[in-house]
Amino acid sequence: MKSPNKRQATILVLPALIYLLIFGIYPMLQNFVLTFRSPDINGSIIWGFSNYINAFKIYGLTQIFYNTFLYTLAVPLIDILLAIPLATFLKRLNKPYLLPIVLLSSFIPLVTGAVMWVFMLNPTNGFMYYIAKVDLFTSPWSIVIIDIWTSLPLATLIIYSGLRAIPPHIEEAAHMDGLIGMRKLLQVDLPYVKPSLLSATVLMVIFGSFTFDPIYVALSSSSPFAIMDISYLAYNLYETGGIIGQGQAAVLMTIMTVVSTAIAVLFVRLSLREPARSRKIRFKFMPNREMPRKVAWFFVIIYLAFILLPFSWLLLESFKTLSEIISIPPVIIPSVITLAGYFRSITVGQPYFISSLIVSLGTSFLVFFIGAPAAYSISRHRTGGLKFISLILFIYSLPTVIFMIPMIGIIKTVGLLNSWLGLIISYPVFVMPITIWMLYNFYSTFPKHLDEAANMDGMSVYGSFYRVILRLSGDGISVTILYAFIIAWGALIFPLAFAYTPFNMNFLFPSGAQTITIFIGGTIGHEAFNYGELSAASVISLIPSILLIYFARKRIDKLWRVGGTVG
Amino acid sequence: MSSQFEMHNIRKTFGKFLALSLENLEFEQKTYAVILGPSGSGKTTLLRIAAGLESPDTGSVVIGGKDVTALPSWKRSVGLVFQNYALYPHLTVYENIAMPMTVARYTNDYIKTHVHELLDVMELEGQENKYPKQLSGGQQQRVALARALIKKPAILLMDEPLSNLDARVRIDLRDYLKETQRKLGFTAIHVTHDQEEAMALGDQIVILNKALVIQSGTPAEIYSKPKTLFAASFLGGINLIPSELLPDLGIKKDFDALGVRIQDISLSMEKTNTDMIGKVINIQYLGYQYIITLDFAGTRLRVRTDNLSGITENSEVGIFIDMTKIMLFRDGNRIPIEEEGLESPA
Repeated sequence: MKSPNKRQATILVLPALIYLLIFGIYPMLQNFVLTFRSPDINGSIIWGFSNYINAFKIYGLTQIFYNTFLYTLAVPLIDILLAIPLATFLKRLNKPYLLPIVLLSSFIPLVTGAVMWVFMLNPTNGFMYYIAKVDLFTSPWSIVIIDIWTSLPLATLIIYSGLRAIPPHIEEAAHMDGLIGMRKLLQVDLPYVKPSLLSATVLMVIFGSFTFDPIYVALSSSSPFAIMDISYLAYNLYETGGIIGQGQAAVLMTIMTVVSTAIAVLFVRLSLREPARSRKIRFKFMPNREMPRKVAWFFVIIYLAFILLPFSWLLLESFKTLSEIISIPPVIIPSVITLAGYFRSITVGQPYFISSLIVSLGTSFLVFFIGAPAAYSISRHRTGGLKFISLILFIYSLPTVIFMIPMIGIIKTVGLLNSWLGLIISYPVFVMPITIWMLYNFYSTFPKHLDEAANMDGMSVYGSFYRVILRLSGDGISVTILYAFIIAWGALIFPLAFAYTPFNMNFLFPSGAQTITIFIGGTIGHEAFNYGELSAASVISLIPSILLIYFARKRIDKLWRVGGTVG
Repeated sequence: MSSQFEMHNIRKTFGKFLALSLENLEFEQKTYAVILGPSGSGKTTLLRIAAGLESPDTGSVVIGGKDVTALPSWKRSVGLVFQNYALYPHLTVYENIAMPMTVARYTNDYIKTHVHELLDVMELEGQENKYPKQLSGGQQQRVALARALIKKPAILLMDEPLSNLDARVRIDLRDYLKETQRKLGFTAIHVTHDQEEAMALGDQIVILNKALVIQSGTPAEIYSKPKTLFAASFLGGINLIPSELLPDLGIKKDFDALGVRIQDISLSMEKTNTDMIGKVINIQYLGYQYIITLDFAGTRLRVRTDNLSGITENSEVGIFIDMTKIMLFRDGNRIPIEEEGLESPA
């Protein structure tokens, strides 16, 4: 018989488990079923393999596959090669204010980042005019650049956290042995942070292979087949292809599910298992001296320029008058500063901002109420053993787009299409896994004697969680909630699929739920649009991210600690 | 014998906190020196300055006659054994021990001979391909010792090297440390808070408290002639009786307290020949002797005895102090023997 503690610990996990089964596992299976469904000539439904056959006849598929492979391979490879030196420089310089600045581009809505790059890389009106008058958006490498810009800070953060977690006595032992500089990096640091390196690589693979948002934004200034990948194609088929498109989209989504399951298995094993011992790196001649701080600064400044340039360009754009925005050659510093863009974006964008705010708040709290007890229970009481946490990491590594079609069915059934609540109940599928994973790691470092003392004092598992643990986990939880808020704030695929009008500004009978990401990403190039208004709205969309980084700056390097947390 | 290790006018502060202040410290070649002090006394700071992991605000460190104050750790001819061993978890025993030599680019054959020599001394033959995690605490400590010794340093520094081991292993390894030091003939500086360890190992003991050197000397010197109350109570333990509680013992009462070691008091159920009567609070049996705690006019005294001769808890006993062994303290310092005005008992 189960002890009452075990039973209560299980109950704490149940809401999260039920949610993930309905909104995570069911859509995967449903996709698979949909792949066999297609209409015949008369429009009635038949079951068969025609979707599989037709999906591979789609025009431009070779280019789309090529792009997908490029994003999947080039992004993580370049990311890791750039992140290791950057993390090392940051540790060498040891300036606490550098990390938050470097992290900026990973914590903003993907759409906003893409908009910055579209502005900046415009060969006639953008900063690109002064570098080379080339339109990069004719090549998929433009998306690779945006992807790297967005994900490099996260890769750096993971590796940097690993480096910072090397125990001081090991650092000192290396010092005593005369290991410094490059030699120490290769012989001590990198072997030590191997779990972080592997996790970062896998996360970047996941990130690169399912690129969606930059493509959505950049399509306005490029030919579709130049940059499109499978993820976007699936969305596009669903959006424009009716029931035939839906079946073919389901085929692509099932393929993506299978591929990402393979990646996920890798990810789960790397995150939860202690890595096997590595072969040692041996080089005969390595500089055995510390890199001069000046050299480290030199490189860090180059990195900072890469990360901050798009931000600066956007900020400058947002204060320019229309004539200066469209002038050729482009104006760098506005001669007249105007706030017109901000006023208009607040007026026009108001319903979008309100929807994003409400949906993100709602999602954060839902995720907190379901996720925190589950994270605590699996971390402290080992509920579900490794199975539950593996499920979490598995769903985390799936591309958001694959949940889309079945979820529309669910939301339609409960009558919540095009409503805030519809978005709030669907968002946790991509917000909650990472939240639970973060809190799981947070609670793993919590002293065990607290629960034991609470238990001795006669508190049940609920009691010790709600009356002791939760009160003490303020900082971990506030950062996690803020992070959840930011992911929800930057969401694009779900609002595109589940909402089709802006909020009607009627709080008694609200309808419409289009978000700020749609306002920003959907309007660029799609209609005659004022760029000043768009850039101002983009600047405003950065506020939550900047707040998060500001509040979490002291413990941000612990947010993403990976490896060695189990067993 | 020349002096192998010297520190002069060292001062180290962390912010406003004074961590260490010492004028002169010298150890001769092949000495086993023990730095003894409670936590926060500055003993680890002393060691880290010697190792080059901290640099002093002022002062100099001289090793083998050469001023090394400005040199990095690995150019100092010192080895350091860390409290928690600090072995590289991703490297084998062999690779851990060889690391300081591979960095210094010795040839593989040369390294191999030396590592195996040490493996032999440390009784680790056959373990060289294991990873630190697969070893016991005592074995890990010996690997750490081997790594620190591989480059044949002039000085071996050890930071609480035995404190992470369980009691039995600790005593085995203690004997082993001293034997190894004698066999290989290096100068050892061993930091500890354990007075028994200090007594057992040290040729020379330096007692630190609150960043200052309290006393330095052989264990016997410090034990029998502590300069201060702190040294007396830290090394060996001592009973203190405030002077106003004492009956007339035939000595001038110009001291604050009388100190007497636990083996220099005897007890008896006969209460006729003494003015000092105490009440037994408890009796601890240690197998080969007893430790009796008693209350004497509100002060607790501890007494060591081989047999109880009828003493039980709560019994009233007569207290007899061996007057040849007493120490008298004034203002925290011991009154030197010439001044004590002690009348030798008939």
